[in-house]
Amino acid sequence: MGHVTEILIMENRGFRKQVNGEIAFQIEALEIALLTSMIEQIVALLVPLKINESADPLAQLIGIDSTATKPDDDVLLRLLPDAYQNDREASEEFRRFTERSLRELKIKRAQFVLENLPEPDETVSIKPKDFESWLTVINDVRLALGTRVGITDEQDEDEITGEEDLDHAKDIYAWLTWLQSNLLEEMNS
Amino acid sequence: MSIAPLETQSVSLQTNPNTPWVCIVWNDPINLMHYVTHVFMTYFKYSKEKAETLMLEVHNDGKSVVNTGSREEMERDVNAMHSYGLWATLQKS
Repeated sequence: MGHVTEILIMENRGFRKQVNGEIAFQIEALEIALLTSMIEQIVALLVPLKINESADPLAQLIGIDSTATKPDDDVLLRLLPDAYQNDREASEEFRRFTERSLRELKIKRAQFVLENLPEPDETVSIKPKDFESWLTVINDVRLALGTRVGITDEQDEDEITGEEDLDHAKDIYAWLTWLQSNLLEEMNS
Repeated sequence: MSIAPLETQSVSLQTNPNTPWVCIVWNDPINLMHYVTHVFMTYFKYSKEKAETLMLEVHNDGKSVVNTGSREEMERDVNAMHSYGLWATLQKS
């Protein structure tokens, strides 16, 4: 599993649980812009590409998508994995019955976080009922970025590659890890 | 398409009513250990101790059976694990 780069834990952003149970912390303008961009990219990935107008309305109503197939894109496959390890047919059937609603749930949570990101220099304040949405959306962003930059084992994220873009992406990944870890700690405090 | 596959599915379940299925969570390099524990406690309502034991099984052995039940129940669990971003599959035990 992933781990938190220790040096980042030292940084203090005033993570704290308030008397009313909300978790508050400071976030910089650049970080808001980064989060916004990454979450928007995930939403764009998750929005089903095919709108099948001839699809059975009853099937659509109960969330069945007869066109759902295993994604070609690595990130999308990580967000929407196969449900059966060695049974392609069963995995595809599972997708037809569940994938659309899973996409919709992830999109709904992502849009909620997007709408609740603060203006620059404001403090983030998260209500207890919204903890799970923030946690899972940040996790989806980590899954997407980690898959894109090829985090493959426990030490990968610390390696300096010398490739500027990749090193920058790994810095962002480490920041997301730190953010999620702090949220979890405050939620359970 | 019709809703026929739902009926087919329930028929096939009726022919093997006692076959248990399992929900397996697989190790991956991204999900954090305490996030995985949190998911097991939140979704399955497991104690912290049980959730940590299962999480460590995933971490050390590469996978862990986190629940057992009917095929429909395990499909629900796998779907929930995917909603949390965990890598889960189901199979006959």
